[in-house]
Amino acid sequence: MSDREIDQKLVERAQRGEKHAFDLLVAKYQRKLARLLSRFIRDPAEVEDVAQEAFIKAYRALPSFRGESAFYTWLYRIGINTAKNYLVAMGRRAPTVTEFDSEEAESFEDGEQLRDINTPESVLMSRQIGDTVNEAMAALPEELRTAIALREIEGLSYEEIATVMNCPIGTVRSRIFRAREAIATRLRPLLDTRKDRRW
Amino acid sequence: MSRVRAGVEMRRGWLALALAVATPAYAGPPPASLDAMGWLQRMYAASQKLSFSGTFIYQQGQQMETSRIVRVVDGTGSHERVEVLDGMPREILRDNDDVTAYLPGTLTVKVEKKTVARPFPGLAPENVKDVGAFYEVRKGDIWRVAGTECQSIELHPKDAMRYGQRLCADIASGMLLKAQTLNERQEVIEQFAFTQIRVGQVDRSELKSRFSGKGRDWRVEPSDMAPANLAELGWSLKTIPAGYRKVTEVKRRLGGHPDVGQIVLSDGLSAVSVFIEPAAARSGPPPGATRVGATHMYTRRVDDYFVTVVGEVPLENVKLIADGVELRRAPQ
Amino acid sequence: MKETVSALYDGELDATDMDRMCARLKDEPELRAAWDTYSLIGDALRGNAGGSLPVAFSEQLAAEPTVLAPRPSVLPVTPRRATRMALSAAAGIAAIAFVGIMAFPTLKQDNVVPPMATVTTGPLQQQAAAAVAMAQPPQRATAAASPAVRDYLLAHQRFSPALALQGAAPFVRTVSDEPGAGGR
Repeated sequence: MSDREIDQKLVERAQRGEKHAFDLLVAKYQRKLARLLSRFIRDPAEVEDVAQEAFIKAYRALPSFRGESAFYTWLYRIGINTAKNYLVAMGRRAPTVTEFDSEEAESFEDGEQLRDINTPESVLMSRQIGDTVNEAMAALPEELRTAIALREIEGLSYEEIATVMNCPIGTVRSRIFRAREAIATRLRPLLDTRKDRRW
Repeated sequence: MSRVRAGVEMRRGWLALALAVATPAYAGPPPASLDAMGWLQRMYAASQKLSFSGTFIYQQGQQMETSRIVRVVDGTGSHERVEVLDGMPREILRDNDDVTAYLPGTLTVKVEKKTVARPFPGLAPENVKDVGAFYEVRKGDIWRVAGTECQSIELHPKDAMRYGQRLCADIASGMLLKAQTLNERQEVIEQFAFTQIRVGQVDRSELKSRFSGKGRDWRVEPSDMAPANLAELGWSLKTIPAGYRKVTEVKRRLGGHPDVGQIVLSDGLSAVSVFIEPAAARSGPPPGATRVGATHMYTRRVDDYFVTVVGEVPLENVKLIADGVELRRAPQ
Repeated sequence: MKETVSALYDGELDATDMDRMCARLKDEPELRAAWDTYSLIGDALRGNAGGSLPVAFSEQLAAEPTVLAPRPSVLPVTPRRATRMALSAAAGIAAIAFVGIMAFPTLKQDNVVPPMATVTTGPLQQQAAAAVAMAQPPQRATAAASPAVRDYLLAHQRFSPALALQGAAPFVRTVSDEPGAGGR
């Protein structure tokens, strides 16, 4: 998927010493990793600690990442190991949820959320974000909504979306961008009130 | 790996639902005045009577698989073929209650022949109303599926031991075109949906397996099922969620082992299986929880056995049942 | 310019443009903010709006010794996720009825008639047809790694009440982890 190309490019830049590139990957996958860790760790503050630890470990282990799997697959494994080690160190039993084969890391997480990963005060925030995004989606013209849904929810490439929507690839690119900007406009007031988080 | 399917032909346009031709012979009130229960009965009746061919997607999380399905209903009963189109072709054939799965990756044919003569529980017209004991059944909105308008029926679970369902039936024929499994937050955790369907006029030749007559050296794994009474051997289920009743109890082959007990419980809409296997020579999942889509599994060790509970239900359900499985050994 | 960030985020820029934009993201906060926001929007659409790390993490990362492991920049051949349409590649014309599965993960929109993407007529653009015709198998739908799990699923599935309504369709759950299905 096209995700793999951008991730690979960012990893390469990070491997050449450009830390900022790794920061972009953190921005992209922080919530996904947190959701994964929350399957093992109840306390949201602990999830946050373990997530940061996992990202640091991943950064340090970058030289050993050769791109044979997708970056997130590799990060996923590091996340699981970090969580397990953490639980062992805390004297807690690591739950025995069977780990799926790493290639299926994508499919593993979506679907049932076993527990809420947010602290009480940010539960409201993340729900508000979710609601705002949904409202924004509903308000979008259909072709913009379809384009961004096919990209973000179905994971189709621009080429595939162009085929489905029967329009040029340039139009797909433009629609997705306009959808994002429309949603971002609604989100901005919400995000401005919370500067200590990395949105 | 190329995915070209020479025989698959997609229809033009929104819809290819040849309804007028295949008008089902149901007596009954016109669709508009049907209540939710009536719709469930209508869906069931349609699935028992209508032949069709179509394409559907199975979606779990962000993963999606496309399959081709053909069903022929005639004097000899109901016959079906499902072929998974993505990746290596895998096939499921059903002849009434006998199910055969062709798995070319491992050159295995798994055969589940029905040797236990017991009717299925669930949405047979006479016991549709039982579902209402544990699910609130309501009419929902009109959805468009496979290019046609469908009435959605929502089944909201009355407790946390089961998942909700949203079933969308074609208004004209009553055929179920989309089925979603919903968790307690109304999130869709799994769905089946037709993208294209053609009712009636199905060529029987489409039921033929693509694997028949290949002369390959397939390993056939029969289920060797026979009725059983596991209570006689000392097994009991102490904790079962409300509404789940035993539907069938067999001894069978599973994986490597020839002698595995299986008890099936159902509340009419969902089912849970309890597998009991001797610990030696077992190759199943490790103790604990596993999730595959909307299906949960929970394994624990009891005496010299492994107990695995499987169902399209929340984890609490399978875990409750598993934790309550007891073996009372007869005094020596 | 932000539109380029959007395309970059989706991995849809060519190698040169990707390089250029990555550099700019480092230097221009407004572009970086766009990347962060697009990432949040994507997660929110998938029902996962929470879990962002605190800003302080950037400092922690900055304090780490920089790793250096330069490798020749050869992108692996990226298998395209298979499209969910069967195409008659030779003819180049496909008639498609496609339903977009609009799973807005957080509930509110669920009972509304969902929007759909439908292609009703017309030949595909040549290059799109060619590219899609060599579509690779998608990732597997289920994630069970061992055949044993599948055995349980199959043994259980045949007693499911869903058989009464859906026939054999739900069995696709049980065969989805076949070796070679989704392998590269």
